Amino acid sequence: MNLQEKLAALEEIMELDEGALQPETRLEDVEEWDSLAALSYVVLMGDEFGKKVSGQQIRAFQTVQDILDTMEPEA
Amino acid sequence: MLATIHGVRIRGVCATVPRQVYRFEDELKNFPFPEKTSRRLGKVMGFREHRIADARTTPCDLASYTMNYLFHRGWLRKDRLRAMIVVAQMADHPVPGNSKVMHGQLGLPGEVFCTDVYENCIGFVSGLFTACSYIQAGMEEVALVTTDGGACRANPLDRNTYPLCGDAAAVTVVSRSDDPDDVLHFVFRNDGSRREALMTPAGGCRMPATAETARMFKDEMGNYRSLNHMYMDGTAVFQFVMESVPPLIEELCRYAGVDRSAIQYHLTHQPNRFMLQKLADLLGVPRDILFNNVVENFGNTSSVTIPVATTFNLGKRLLNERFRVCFSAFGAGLSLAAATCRLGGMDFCDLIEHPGNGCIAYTESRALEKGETQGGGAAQPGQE
Repeated sequence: MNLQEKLAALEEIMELDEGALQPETRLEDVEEWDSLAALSYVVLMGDEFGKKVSGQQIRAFQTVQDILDTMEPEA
Repeated sequence: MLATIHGVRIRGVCATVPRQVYRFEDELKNFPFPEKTSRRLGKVMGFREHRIADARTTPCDLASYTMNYLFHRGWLRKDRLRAMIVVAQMADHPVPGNSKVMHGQLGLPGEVFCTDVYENCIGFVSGLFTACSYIQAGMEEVALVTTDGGACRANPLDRNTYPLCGDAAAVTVVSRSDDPDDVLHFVFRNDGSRREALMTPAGGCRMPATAETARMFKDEMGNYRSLNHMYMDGTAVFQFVMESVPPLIEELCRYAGVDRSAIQYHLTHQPNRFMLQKLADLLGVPRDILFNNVVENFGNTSSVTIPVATTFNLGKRLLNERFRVCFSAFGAGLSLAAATCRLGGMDFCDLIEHPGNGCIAYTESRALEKGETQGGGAAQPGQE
């Protein structure tokens, strides 16, 4: 996934319009970033990247960039 | 732990839900989130409506009403009953236990053995194993009561737990059988190291409830709760279920010598629709044989979801037909349980409504038929 695809995937799980998220967007300003979005992100990470993320990791996210950084296949 | 019990059958199941219906749409405004995101959550998780008992109706009232219904119909006889096992996470009183309260409410004979099993999400399967063990110990007939009331009245502000909660009670009658095909296989697993993922921190001996523990605070995901309220790390529970339940069912089938594809229905504990759809996909079974409609119609009723799913979805079909089923349950502990058997040829399989106000005497109440509460056509309180 390139950057645009990753942003689009995140916009989709939050049901946001295309272009609504930027890497520097702060998650506290995105009301759609809620427990359901977090769960959808967990499923996405499992399905697309074969990775397991913890609730602790998710609660530490502050910006969209923090999420993007995790969206890489296991090294 | 794996176990096999021969010569036991489930003779009938009856579940009771409170008459009072609460709609998610009406509750949206109580949550500290935009209504739009709550609606999105509801759509995915299947939050539509749930049944919550009024403040005068306790777990024992719901359960005693169900027992009285069975006595009234003649499906259960006080003189044949040898034991009553009451599975619950809430109690009418700290002392004595629910089974003793119900013994008094029902006027049961002195020789009926009454015991309580404290359990959460896996309560039905644990209780079933306990009941089957009693039959193996020589009893003719055991009433397995699972009941859940009041647990969810606690915190209407918490969108993480409140919309999915519901109250209900059920009685499952387990009897001795001479049919060699009446065999139950069980499997149980626990991971207590992950217990904090689903926990009510205060109110027990480790942290007694005080004014301090009752103080509301906003948690990391924006929900308001106190230490007296149930907390759930939804992500952790979801991952636990996804990684643990499929191998558990695989192990059970191997142990029982049952081909996984021979399972006609999966009667699972129901925390939300989303998790169950994903679970069906992971198990590689059609979503319509792993029922997921209990939360949207009644709410998650802890140890009563499996009886509600059974009576609501299969109901009268279980009187004349028989199916290979797999019960499975997962949750607080974190714990897992599953059982497989042939289910059917029952004497009764009903879902009824409780009239409220702490009623325990059965009065004519109509059994809910499947479809009655679906598609927005909710059963209205008082619309009899």
